[in-house]
Amino acid sequence: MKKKLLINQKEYEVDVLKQDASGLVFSFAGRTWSFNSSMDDALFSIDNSGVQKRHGLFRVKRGNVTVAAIGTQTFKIEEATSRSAKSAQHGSNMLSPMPGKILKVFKNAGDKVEVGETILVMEAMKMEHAIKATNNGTIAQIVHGEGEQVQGGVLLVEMESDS
Amino acid sequence: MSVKFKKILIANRGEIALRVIRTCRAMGIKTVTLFMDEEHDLPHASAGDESVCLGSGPLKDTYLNQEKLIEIAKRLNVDAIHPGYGFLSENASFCRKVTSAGIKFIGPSPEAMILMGDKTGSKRKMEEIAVPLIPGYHGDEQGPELLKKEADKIGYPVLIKASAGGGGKGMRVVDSAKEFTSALEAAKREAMNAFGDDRVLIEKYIRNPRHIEIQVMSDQHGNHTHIFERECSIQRRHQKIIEESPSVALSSDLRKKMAAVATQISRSINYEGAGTIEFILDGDIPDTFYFLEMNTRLQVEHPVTELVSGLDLVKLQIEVAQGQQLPYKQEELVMRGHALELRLYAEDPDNGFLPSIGTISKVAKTSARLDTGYVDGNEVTISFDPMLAKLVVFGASREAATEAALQALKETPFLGVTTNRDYLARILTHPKFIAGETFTNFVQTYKEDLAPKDANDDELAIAIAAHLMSASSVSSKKMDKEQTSAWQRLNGFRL
Repeated sequence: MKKKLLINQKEYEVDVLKQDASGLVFSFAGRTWSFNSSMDDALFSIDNSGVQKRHGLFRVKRGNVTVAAIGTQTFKIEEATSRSAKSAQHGSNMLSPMPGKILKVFKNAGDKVEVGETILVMEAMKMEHAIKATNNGTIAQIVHGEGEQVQGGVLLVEMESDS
Repeated sequence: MSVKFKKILIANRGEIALRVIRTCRAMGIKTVTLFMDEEHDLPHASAGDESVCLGSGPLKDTYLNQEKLIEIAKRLNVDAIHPGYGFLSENASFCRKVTSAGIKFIGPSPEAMILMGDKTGSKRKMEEIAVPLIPGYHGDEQGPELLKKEADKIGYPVLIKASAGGGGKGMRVVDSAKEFTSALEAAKREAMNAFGDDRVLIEKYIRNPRHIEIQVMSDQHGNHTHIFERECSIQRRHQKIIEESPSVALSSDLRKKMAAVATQISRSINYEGAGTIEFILDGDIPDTFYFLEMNTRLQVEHPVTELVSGLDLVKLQIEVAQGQQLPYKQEELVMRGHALELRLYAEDPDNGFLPSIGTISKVAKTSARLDTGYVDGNEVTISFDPMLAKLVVFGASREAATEAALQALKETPFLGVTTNRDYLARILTHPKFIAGETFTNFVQTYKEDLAPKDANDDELAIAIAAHLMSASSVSSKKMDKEQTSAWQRLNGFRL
């Protein structure tokens, strides 16, 4: 089964060949990967010669999003739904530049906006930041409402694709 | 005459409050901790034997509210106040008020604090006792010939800086006497345009500075000692990121020389307790160092000194405050191995170092020393310092300590909050860091090298598996194995 995953906002294709009680096998980046078990703080893979390898990690699942600390890096992995896939591909969507609170929303879904028009204002680090349209287009969705707290890097405004 | 404290109020929060408690407990001293309404869930709120809520509001009404803290200290009958670092630790008026309330302030006298807290005053005092300062001319006379003469006297390279300056405007590095006049004209022109004021000052230019500091410790009986150096050259915008001891830049002769200057300073101001004398070491001219400033408190990075000296600095602070003599003689102190401290910040180095917030689902699982004010489940907000933790490691050599640091970083994920963890690893693995070529401009100079690298396929594959396989899905085949169940029976087994 082919799957699209977003890892740190980048899209990757994974072909899951087997996923059952005995483990997980998938092909990715031209190679086949085989994992036979999973614990709280480690995953175990099996190589061709049958040697089991331990991969220490930390992870937490929030909804459909997994955050995993592997080595000194941290990965955010999620299923690339049509919306998130689009948002990864289209630079026109607006992300929150930093954690903060949505103060005021000026536009609605369906509104046409031009480059530089303020769509919403958020407050972060005790300063106000205007989130402006980065190109001309139509707003598909404004994800968060006034008063909501948001993390840095989350989707705030989704634009309709031009196609 | 010495006393024995029964109870200490810690006028601080987070990791340093917990650090002080640890030593107090080992010494049989009760502690009082403070916290704010929104800090209920943080460990320091409940770590003391007694704790008092300061309510909420700005810092001046809570942790910096001197009257309130003294009122609490009196009401709870504490013998002494430990100020930690930051907050009121270098506030002479607080120190005075505490003392006149009949409570011992764990730290130096207010006079020493005032003297060293004042940049001009402290430099004048240093001149008096012949401590080297960065050579410079800060006078009002601005004739070009006079300025040239001053620059010649300082010795090239020199730095011309706009007196009204900032942001690099009106700033010129001059490498030789023959370039001076034209550089001065350009700097003055720029300064006039930028600030409407063309006065300049001239200082010795240090192309490759190292930040070296000497830990001093003095008792009330005239014993002024040092506990070697720390190098803190890896910093960003004057914020330290990695500290180590010893410094690769110090020969044993230079160490002796700098330490002698440091103890001379503490003696000259009749210092008491723990202090840090900061120096700039010129990386290009052998054995050339200048006094920068003195911090009259326990330093954030004190753990590296603890690891190489085997001493507990907080314990020494308390003993000195109790009126005891230092329990060691200078010549008995030895430095062993190498220690590194890495500061974990809630920030995103790959996105302009913007601060991050979030809920920590996993702080760490490490055997390294991790001084932190957080436990699993805590919320990181932007109300306080973005420092999440200090990871402190020890090795027989600098190489071994670096290796240990890299391993420990893998074990301290602070999952749920974006941190500078990987950035720290990039610094530690940088060839120039490994070579010990650490100058205060390090992170700026190697900015490009320190940019994030793309994840490789192996890491991505593990990430994919981490997402697709749930944590609990140990395969049923595996579950059946005797070995697994035996392992599980080990729960509750203590060594």
